[in-house]
Amino acid sequence: MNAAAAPAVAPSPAAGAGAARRVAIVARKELRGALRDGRVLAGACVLLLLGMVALASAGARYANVSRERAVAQALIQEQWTQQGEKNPHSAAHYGIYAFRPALPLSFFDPGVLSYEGVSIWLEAHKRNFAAGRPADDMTALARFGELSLGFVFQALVPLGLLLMAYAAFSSERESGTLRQLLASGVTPAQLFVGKFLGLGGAALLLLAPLLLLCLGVLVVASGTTWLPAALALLVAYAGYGALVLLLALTVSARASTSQAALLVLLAFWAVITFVVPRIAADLGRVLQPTPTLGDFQRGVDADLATGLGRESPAAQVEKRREQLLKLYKVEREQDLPINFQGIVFGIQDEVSNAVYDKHFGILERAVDAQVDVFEAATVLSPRMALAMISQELAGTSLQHQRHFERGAEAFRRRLMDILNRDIAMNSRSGQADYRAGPDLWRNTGEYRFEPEPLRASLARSAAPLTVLVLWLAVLVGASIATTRRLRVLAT
Amino acid sequence: MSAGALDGVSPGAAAGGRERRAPATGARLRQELHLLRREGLAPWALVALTLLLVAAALNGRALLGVQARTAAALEDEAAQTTRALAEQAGRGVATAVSPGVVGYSVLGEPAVLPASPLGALAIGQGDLLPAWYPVTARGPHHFLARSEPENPLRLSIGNFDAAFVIVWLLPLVVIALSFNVVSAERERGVLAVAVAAGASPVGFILGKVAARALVVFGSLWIALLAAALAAGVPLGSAAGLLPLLLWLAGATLYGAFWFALALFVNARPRASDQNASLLAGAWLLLVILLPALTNLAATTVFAAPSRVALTTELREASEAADRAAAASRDKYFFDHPEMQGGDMDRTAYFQSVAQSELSISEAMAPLLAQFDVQARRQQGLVEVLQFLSPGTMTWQSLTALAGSDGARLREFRAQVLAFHARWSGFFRDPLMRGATLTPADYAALPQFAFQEPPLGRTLARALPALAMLLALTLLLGGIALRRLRRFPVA
Repeated sequence: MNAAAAPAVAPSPAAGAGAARRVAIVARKELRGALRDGRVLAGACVLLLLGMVALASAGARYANVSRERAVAQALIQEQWTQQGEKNPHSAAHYGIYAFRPALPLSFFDPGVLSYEGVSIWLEAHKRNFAAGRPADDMTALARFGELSLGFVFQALVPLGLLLMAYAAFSSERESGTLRQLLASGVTPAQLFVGKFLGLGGAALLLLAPLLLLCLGVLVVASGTTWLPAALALLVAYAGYGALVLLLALTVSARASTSQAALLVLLAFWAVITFVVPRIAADLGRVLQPTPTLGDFQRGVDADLATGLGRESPAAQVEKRREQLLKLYKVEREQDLPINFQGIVFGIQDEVSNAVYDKHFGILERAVDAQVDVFEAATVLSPRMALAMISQELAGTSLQHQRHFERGAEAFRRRLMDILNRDIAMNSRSGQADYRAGPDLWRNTGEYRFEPEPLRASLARSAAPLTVLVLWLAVLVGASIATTRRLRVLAT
Repeated sequence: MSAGALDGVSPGAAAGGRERRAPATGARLRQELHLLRREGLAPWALVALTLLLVAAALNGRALLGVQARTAAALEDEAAQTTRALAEQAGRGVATAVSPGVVGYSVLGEPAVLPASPLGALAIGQGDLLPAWYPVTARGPHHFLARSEPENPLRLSIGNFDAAFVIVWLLPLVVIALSFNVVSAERERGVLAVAVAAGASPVGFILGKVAARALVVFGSLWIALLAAALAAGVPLGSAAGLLPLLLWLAGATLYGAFWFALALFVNARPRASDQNASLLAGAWLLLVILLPALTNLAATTVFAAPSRVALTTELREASEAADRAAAASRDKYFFDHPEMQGGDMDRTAYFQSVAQSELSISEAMAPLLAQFDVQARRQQGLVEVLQFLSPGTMTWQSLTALAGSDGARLREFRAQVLAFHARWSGFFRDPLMRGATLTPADYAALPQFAFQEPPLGRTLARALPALAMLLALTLLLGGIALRRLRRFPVA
């Protein structure tokens, strides 16, 4: 047993300035060493190149998609207002489409966008699924993962950090310089902090061009609206980078050899980055399968036939008819001053809205249960926690898609109300040839997508953020414990 | 560095000494296996691979099980509806004898893609692209865009299936066992001692690699067989056994490639941790980056047409068809003034529906075909670019053999479209003639049965990649051995 515990240096007030100076010296040395290392520079160049490829392809796609969807939404609106004279209920069946606009930060992290429909047909009586998933038109290799900036920063940059830092302590121990360093008066803690700052600073310097380019592209594309979200993203990714670096230094300080440190770190990286997410995602599906389209449709059809309330839809119609006849003091439907069919459509829509709320609710709860399993697994894989935060802040998460779908559905319901009311108020019962014109189509309003405020994304990121902070806290604790009992000599 | 380059044993000496060295090689292999067991790596590899592969296979089977149950329920439902309608048609019930009502609003045929024997081992695109389409007499645009409600987060992460374990994780096992297969011996001085004791350095190293390969491939074969059983692969039939054997061959070749690469990296005098970094980098490049870049290239060069534009085109086509239908309705009432103010008769109504559907379908067909054209071009490019990466090659071959690649699913869609033409014609023709349906017609309804593409076509997609893997393995291994012959031992 030739591993000796490091001499415990009691911190004295006079040593404060000296400590800071020693940390700075170590940091400067590590920074210079990293920036002079050809392998580090080569790795950084590869990362920058991949980042540029990801940025260029995602930027082009973003520009393309946002133009295309804006044009399509305008075209659909034009088709709507120019549909000519029609019975409003025919117009309701014709319907309108809602397109999900591309949000600027999707160029950074596309999240689940490739696996979500981009348009919803808003028609009478029916809530449709979003259609047109981009992934359906990609090659099967898309399932290997898309090369995005988010992926570069979630998977590749951490690998670079590990490779930079795995030997930080172990190689100094193997070559005997660790003993010399400590003998010169640097404490293990100062050494640790210095190495952390030096290597972290080097990584930041090397990645700065790519980060600045991303921020520049964002500001040029969308002004400063998304800057707060981008800065929040930056903080989250910096936190993850710090976590990885802490882990690498701690493992390096504890491992018996550089080789052992590297193996442990590489295995950890591969498992948390690629293996745990897949297992967690599929485990969720096994535990709580999503209903099939067939189940969904059968459930909807059955409930539409009977209604969800105590009264059947037919009974509700009958009751309303009685009420109206009494109100207007007439005997027959034809004598009402309104078109009762408009009221019937309204009742049918109330029934179908409740049914669709119920069944979309079942579907969403099943997906939520799967996401819960995934979220629980972030405890094992901080990379998954980062991915969830990143999707939220970039506006490309599952919840952002739901926000789009709910907004579109709310618009559909308002639209149908307007059309049903128009039939009821402007025609008489039995008047099948009633036609409305452009005035009505112009007054139904336009579908507009409103992105969620940043605080909604932040609120939803609370759980993964907590996990990330906990990981950081544990690693800070572990690194303190490691520096207290640093092995100085190689075995 | 005291010891200079060491010449390998000359070929003549090797040939002459084979008889005498044979038992020594066997003993060395046994000794290596013993060492591996002592390090705990061999059992670890076996257990990890088996657990992962079996879990992945069970996961794949669960997914296919849901699909199979869904398909069975749908077919059952359609058969019941058909029986009821046939019975009603026998009694002359008006809705059951009307080809318009039945074809355009009541009856549909679920066209189902049967699970392929190895489907549970590689899910591929199977959870993304539909495994069944509800075909009705209405236009294909009604059913082509359908998809199962899914968790997009799960889809975006990818499947945990046996193909994933092989393509992504098997190399990591190989790397963990062999990244220092030469460098560690050199660092510990064992190689110099062994050579001094009369061993050939190449033979010594090959013995170490062989022991590791034996452990990995032995584990892999046992694990894959267990996974095949767990996945319910029909081992008794040629349709199950042949692809499974090719799977074993593909996985083994892929593993062999990684051994060859590890040996190649070890054939230069480098420190073990540098070897590990290099191999990790190679894994990242070959298994993660190149497939992603290949997909990016294929979808950029042959971008799919816009689904958004398709939506607006569909709307234009529907509007045009509606206007035509309104015109024909006006004509109908002009021809039948006695019906003015009432509903059109049922046949006339459905004739106009059929006409609308036909004209929308005709307008949409070239646009929809464009998606297929681009998908084929993308696939063509991927089949060329796959040779850049053994990861892509292996994955392509494994999913092709499992029948869950895009090609089989697109073939399914093409067959469904052909079936749809027969199905809709079956109702449209009598509808346009003004004829009615009889129970005999119900007995003669077109049935969908997927025709598996010939095995030759699947093999043509899988075998070149496997051959390339073999060539790469031999090339890398050969270069590595040549270099090892002139390798400093200390």
